[in-house]
Amino acid sequence: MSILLYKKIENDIKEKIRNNLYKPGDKLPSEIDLMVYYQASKMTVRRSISNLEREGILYSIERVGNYVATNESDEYRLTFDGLEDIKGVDEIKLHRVERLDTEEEDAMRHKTSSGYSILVRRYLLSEGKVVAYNKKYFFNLEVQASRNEEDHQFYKKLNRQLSSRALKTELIFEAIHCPMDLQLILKIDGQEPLARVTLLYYDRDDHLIARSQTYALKEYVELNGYSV
Amino acid sequence: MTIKNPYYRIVDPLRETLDSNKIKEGESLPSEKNLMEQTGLGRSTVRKGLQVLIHEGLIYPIQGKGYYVNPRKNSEFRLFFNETGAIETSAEKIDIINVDIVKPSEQLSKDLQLTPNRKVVIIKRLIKSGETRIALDYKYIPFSAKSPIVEKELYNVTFPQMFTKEKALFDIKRKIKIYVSKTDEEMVKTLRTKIGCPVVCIEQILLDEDQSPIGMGVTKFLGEHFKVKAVSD
Repeated sequence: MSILLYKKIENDIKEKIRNNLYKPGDKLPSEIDLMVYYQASKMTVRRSISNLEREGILYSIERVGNYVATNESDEYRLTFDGLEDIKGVDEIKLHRVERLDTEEEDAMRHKTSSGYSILVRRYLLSEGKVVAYNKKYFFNLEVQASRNEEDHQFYKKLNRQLSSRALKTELIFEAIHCPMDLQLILKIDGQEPLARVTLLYYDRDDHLIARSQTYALKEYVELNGYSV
Repeated sequence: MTIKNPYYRIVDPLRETLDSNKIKEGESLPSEKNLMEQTGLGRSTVRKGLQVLIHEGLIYPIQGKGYYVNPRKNSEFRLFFNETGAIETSAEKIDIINVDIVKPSEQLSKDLQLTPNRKVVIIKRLIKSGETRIALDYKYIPFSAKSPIVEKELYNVTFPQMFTKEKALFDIKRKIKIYVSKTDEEMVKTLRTKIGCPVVCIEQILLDEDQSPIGMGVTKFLGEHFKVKAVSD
C-alpha cells in the first residue's frame, strides 16, 4: 500500500525528531529546502507542516519559519459526570428546596427576573451512609412551582430547564476544611479535609444560571483524565 | 395546569429513562413500533417526540437502524496543568530538595510495572510562589545506569521534559488523577504547615508509545493555595 506523500513527510519529520536530528527549539529547514528534499510541491509540504502543527509537534512564526515545539501540550481531558462521579453513590435523597430572597449575595449578583433564586439541597448516600452533600443554586430560571407540586417534581423541572439552557460549564476542584453546617451531616469534625467540586453553568449569553457544589468525603471523589 | 402536547406522553417517560441511566450512552432506544405500542400513540406523534429529544441533544438517529443515546453533555472538561506553571499569576520557583535512588514500594513497583529488584530514582522538589511554599512534588523514574539523572537539568523542567533525551515529547502520553488528601509529616516539615490540612494531589503517569509506564509523579498542593479549574468543551 502506498502512503500519501504528505503523510510520508510527516512521518519522516517525526522520525528525525525522535532521533534527535531536530531538537526541541530547532528551526526546521525552509519550505523551499523541504520541497527540494522531499520532491514535493509547496502545497504538500505546507499540508504536512500544518498537520504537525495541529498535533503540537511544530509551531510556526510567520515569515520566520517553523520550529520544533519545546513544550508538551499541557492540556488534559477530564471526565466528570456531575454527581455520578462520587464513588459508590447508590441513592440520592432530596433534603429540601428553598427559595432565597434577593438579600442573598448570589441572588444580588445574578439578579433573577423573578426576583429570587432557588437552592436545592441533596444527600448522596452509599449503602445508607451519607458520603456527600450537594447544594445546587438556580438563578434566572423561569420556572414556577405549581401549587401542591412535590419538591422532587419541581427539582426535575429546574434541572431540565438547566440542561437545555446550559452552554458552558466550569469545574472547580478544591480541598477544604469541613464547613460547620456539614460536620453533623457528614459525621466528621472540622479538621477533616473534604473535596469540594463546584460546577458553574452558563447560558448562551454567558450569564451564570446555576451553581452546584458537592462536598464529598475525600475517599469518594477523584477526577481522571488523559493528555490530548 | 397547561395542556401539554400529546408527544409529551412519550418525551417525559423517555427523558426519565435517560435521566436514570436505564438506557446508557451508545445504546439504542426501543424501536418506533415498540414505542407506539407502549404509549398507544401514533407514529407521527412518536416521531415528533423523538425529534424533541434529538433537538435537545439527548439522542441521535442512525438511518435505517433507530435512535441512540448521546454521551452526556458537559461531562468532558478541558484542563490545563503543568507543575511548573500551576499558578498563573505569580512567579513560580521550583527548588530541588533531593534526588535519591531507592527500592520502590510494592504499590509503586506495580504502578510502574517494574521487574523485581529494579530500583527507582526519586526526585523531590519544592514549589514556591514568591515566598509562599505551596506544594511538594515527587517524581519516580525507574533507575537506569545508561541515562543517569543530572541534577542541574531538573530545575525548571516539567515531568515529560525529563525524558526528552530518550523520547520525543509527542510520543509521551499522560494520565492524570486528581484527589484530596491531608498533609503528612514530610509536608508539615518542608511546607511549614500544620498536620491534617487539606491537600489537592495531582498524580501523573507518563506512558510511552506502547502504553507502558515510564514514570510517575505526584504533586501535593496545599488546599489553601491551589484549586483545579477546568472548562467544558
